[in-house]
Amino acid sequence: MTKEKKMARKARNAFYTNNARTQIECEFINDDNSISRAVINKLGSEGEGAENPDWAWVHEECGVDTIEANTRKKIQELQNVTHEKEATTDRMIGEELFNYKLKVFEMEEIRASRNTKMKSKIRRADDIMKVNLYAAALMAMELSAPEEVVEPVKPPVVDVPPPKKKTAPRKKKGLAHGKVRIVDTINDDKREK
Amino acid sequence: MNGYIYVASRYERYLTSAEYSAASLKDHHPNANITLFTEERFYHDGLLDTFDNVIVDDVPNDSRAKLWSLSRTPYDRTLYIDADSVIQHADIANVFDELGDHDLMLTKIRPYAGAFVYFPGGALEDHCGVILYNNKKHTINFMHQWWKLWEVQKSGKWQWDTTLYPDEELRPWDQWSYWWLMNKTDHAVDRGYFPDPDARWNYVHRYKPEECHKDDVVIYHHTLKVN
Repeated sequence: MTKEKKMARKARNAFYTNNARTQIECEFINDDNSISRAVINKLGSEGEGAENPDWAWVHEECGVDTIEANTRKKIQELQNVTHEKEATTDRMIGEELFNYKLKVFEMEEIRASRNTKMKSKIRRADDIMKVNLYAAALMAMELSAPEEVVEPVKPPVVDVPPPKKKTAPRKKKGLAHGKVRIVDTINDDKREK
Repeated sequence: MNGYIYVASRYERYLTSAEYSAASLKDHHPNANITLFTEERFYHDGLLDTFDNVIVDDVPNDSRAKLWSLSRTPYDRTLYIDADSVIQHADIANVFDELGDHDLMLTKIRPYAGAFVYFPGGALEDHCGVILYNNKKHTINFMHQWWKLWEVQKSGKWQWDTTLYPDEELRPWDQWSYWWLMNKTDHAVDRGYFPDPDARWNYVHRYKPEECHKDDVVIYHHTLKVN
């Protein structure tokens, strides 16, 4: 043992740092109550095949079950951090993509375009490359479209039957619009026939 | 008639975003009635491809033109949607049923998502990026009062006890005048919150995915970069 290691009187929070379970990281509580972190290899440096005496000591101090549990906990923590980083990255990419699309929609030719199908494709594109492709395609369509020439509108040449004569609606006598005459339908029915 | 309103003022980017959002709304609800409030200088005929109704008369050049617009809704029940939101689900068509007997309905702010929430005199708990409301007289009056109070808040004419309500943190936010009206005045209306998981109705991009449980997000709220 080195002089420094001899000062350690307790080990805690040990976990394996590799799948082969040949390395441990842990905290040492020293005689002066200071805490130091240490990485311990199973095999010592003094001779090939010789087990590092600290390895057995840490296992004795912490217990294999605790070291395994700490290892699982550590893996979960690392996975959470990784997922969080990935989610943050995805979110940032999503925000960049959204703002990029808005810039595309502000291009004069695209803003003025009435091609809703292509505009929808740009909106639904899930990466910048697709946005660029659809935007370029729409731009090409708009730029290659013939300019609108206003020509006098000619009436279509089709056989049209002569229009039917419109007849004025017949007025009903004696009944003002919206009013109902009350009649005795049994003895004195004066309704028009 | 029920409908949706968007507001775009000050920056053209907001108009672009409102058009984008309204188009996504029509993707999922083709018969939606949508009104846009925007400044006259931003008007172009193409807007009528997306919006059924575009109102430009007297719309103020103000960062909170939204508050001016809320009381001028043409609808019986209105869903106000921030321009930087995108509609992702067909449930948007049924949103008006959620209001029930409440006058106004919103989602709750998530403090972890970076918003300023707590201050000595209270907390800004309501997210005003999506607001569902009716057109009862007192609700419309509430919206009108919100705009009027915002005007004096912005101008600095309205002063308050800054030990309870820190000026620097609260003055820039329209949620502050909303909070005041709801908690300190008789203008308060019957407020409800969207049912759990409320986040699906206003899912801010910083929210944790588990906020929606397994339900689909209906309104996804981005953050707009103006420059």
